[in-house]
Amino acid sequence: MELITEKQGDVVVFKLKGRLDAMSAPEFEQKCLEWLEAGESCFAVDLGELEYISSAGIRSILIVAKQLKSQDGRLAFSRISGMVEKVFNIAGIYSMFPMYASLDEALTHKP
Amino acid sequence: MNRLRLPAAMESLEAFRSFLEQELEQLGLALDRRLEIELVLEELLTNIICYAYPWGQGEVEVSYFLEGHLRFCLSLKDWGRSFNPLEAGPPDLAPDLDRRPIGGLGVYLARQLADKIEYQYEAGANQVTLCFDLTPPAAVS
Repeated sequence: MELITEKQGDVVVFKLKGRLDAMSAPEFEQKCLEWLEAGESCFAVDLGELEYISSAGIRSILIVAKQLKSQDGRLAFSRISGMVEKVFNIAGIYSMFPMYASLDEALTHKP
Repeated sequence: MNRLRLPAAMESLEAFRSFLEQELEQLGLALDRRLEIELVLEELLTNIICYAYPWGQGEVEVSYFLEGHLRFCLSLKDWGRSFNPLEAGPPDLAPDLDRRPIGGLGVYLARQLADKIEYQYEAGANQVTLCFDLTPPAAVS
């Protein structure tokens, strides 16, 4: 997994690339929780370059989402496709989050 | 060689994955289908790594075979606590984030993605075999 994190306005953008699996999910989760502890509460996760996700990745997303919600935060996703989209659907989490066709859309559609 | 036995530990995941990946690439499967089979392998392996040997260390063996060129089958064997993935209860898929448990999805994902699953416990070993149709349903006349 490669993870690029950047601040765009008041949104923290996470660009995931490669595989979010049992080996890499803890690192993603840790990075998200660090931003939360720093007081950030608006996250956009770009999945355009993410090829693979397993239940460990879903678990990390749910942990971060619950934390964000408890702090009145927001979590949105962009560019989901392929196997990752299928796993989101089977796991029943696709409809839990705002999904956007592009990262720009995710950044402009603020609550 | 189409059989690999390693310690049931997270450190073994990558070796098992590349062992399977090479074969899936040779079969010429579409990328998304390959990744789905890799997902099933990861879910069942992590389950064995986390739960099969509560008293200590053990091993896990992964093998694969083709069933008449129509199905690719993946088999996992361990010598730990008996566990039948076919008897695992359905996960709580609550659509409400507050009520949704964070885990319990691994075996469910595997069951949803495999086309056929068999389990047997014999001579102190769990063996689960998961098969994947190689022909997309739309192409079957």
